[in-house]
Amino acid sequence: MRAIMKLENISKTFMDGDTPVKVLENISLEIKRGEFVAIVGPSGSGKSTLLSIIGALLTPSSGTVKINQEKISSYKPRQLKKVRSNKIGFIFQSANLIPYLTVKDQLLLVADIASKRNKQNKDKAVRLIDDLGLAHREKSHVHQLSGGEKQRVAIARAFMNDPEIILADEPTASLDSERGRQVVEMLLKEVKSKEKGAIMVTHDERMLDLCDRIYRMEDGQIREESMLSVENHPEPLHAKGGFPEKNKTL
Amino acid sequence: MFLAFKELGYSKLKYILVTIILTAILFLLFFVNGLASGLSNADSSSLKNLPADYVVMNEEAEGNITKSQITEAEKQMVYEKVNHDQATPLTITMSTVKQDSRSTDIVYFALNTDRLTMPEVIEGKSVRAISGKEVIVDESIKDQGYSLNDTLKDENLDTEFKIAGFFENQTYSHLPVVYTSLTHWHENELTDQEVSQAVLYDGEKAGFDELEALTIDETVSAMPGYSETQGSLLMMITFLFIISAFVSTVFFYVITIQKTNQFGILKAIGADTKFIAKGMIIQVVLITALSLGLSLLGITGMTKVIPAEMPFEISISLIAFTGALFLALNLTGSLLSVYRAAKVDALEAIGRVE
Ligand SMILES: Nc1ncnc2c1ncn2[C@@H]1O[C@H](COP(=O)(O)OP(=O)(O)OP(=O)(O)O)[C@@H](O)[C@H]1O
Ligand SMILES: [Mg+2]
Repeated sequence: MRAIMKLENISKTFMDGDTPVKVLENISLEIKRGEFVAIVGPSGSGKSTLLSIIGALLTPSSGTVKINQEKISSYKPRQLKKVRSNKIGFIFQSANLIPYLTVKDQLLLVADIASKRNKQNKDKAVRLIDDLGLAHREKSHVHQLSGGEKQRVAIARAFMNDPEIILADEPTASLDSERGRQVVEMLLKEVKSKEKGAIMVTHDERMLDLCDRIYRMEDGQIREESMLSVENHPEPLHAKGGFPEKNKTL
Repeated sequence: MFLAFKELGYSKLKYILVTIILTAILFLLFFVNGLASGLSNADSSSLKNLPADYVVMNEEAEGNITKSQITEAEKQMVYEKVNHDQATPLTITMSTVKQDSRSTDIVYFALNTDRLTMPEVIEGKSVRAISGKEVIVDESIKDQGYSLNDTLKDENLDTEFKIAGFFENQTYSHLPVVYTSLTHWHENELTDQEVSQAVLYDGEKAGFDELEALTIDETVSAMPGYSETQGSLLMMITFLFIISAFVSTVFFYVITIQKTNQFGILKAIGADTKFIAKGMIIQVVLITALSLGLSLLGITGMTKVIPAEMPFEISISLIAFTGALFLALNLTGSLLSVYRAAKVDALEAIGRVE
């Protein structure tokens, strides 16, 4: 199957005062339609930075990002905004919903931003809410929802603009492992049934058996992990010391 | 748009409170404004509506028309320089008239009523048509029980006048002004033939020895106490404007700061600053318009209740001007919030806990 998203030799350098800090180095990877990929790695290894570049929030210092053959790495801010509005679905660590909107309005907001508020999208919002088991919550406000429900709304919102690719940065960090797993299972189901590509950054290695492939990041470099090691030794992987305590946001 | 309305609906209390504050400030603003123009009118409307381009007084009077004295010789001097047909001496006399033991203070403006373009009447004869004892009086005297064809008994002057008509906006120092024929006054020796307070004329500005030609505006502001009163009221009005602009700017700015994280999310899911700014401006306009409407309602209600003697006057143009200025100030203030929202980076949405 053709790649839905392709990174070629991505590097990113931040300026820390006068000294350049290389956060990403020569990263290449690709995601196919219907694939659910995980990225793991210690804190500060550049996972969020990588996700931001794929998600058109940041531009890389060098290298190319292609979403569905479209080379977005050379785009101007105006065009990047369009890419985010049309091609990307974001799920953040905390659900990041708008407090004064009902569940349904959270989804309609996405249509509103893209100036595509119509009957068709209203029906779509209702369907998505239903898919994620939130039908009875359609008119609830954010403060009335549990953590897991919030994250499910965030997933529904991410699918609302019919994106090519879903990006999730630690979507389960604020949930207990049982809720977390449920949320990831729902995300997986949506990705498979709608044939999207998805990348999930996670610290919780117990979720990894749900993923098709795993990448591990360390010091700005990335390599693919064999699925075998996950299935055989979920605990040891965790204990292997992949988590220096520096900046840990768990 | 939809976002702006949803937020107003959700945080009702917050927005209702700021609407109430702005309404109260605006109410005060309209009130002080109405009072300023009411006072100014009651003080000086007769001077504002003097039927001439220039008012000649002597220099010592320093613009205070009641203190001015123009002698017959000086009058002739003025007449040499200006068109005789377009000029008249003006004699001002304060006095008291009586009806059924009730006294009313009035101010006589005795002048040649067949010169110049006299003020319009709203009832009775025109000013040009009066003769002898006939006078035209400011309509505010009606509140004292006088009506057309009534007699004004003046015990100080030991004479009587007949009300031949009424005009409006002719008060001096809150007192009704009476236009009367100077010829009649001279014939009956009601005033000194030799002096009058001023000479009014239409035409170009001219210079005279020891005399001064003032425009109508200059005459009004030289009235004793006039500039002081209007000045302090204007200061209050200015401060109220500043306070209102400040309240709404600070309010929206604080709310904007509270929402930076939200703006980050909005930008991350594809919204631009224009989308966010549009919502904010809709909110500011809505709240400003609502406060304006409510305060106008309040002011209208109040004008129905206040006593008729209270000098209070509010005009459509004043309301329109105040409203437009208020809206403009609030919108300018909201630019601060827009600027702040523009600086929010979509990246703030990532990896940040609320
Ligand atoms: N805007 C920036 N300017 C300078 N340095 C930055 C900037 N953003 C990120 N960094 C640095 O880049 C490195 C990678 O950050 P990133 O947030 O991608 O890590 P991460 O893998 O997501 O970590 P975590 O697991 O803790 O979320 C960190 O050392 C961070 O300090
Ligand atoms: Mg991170």
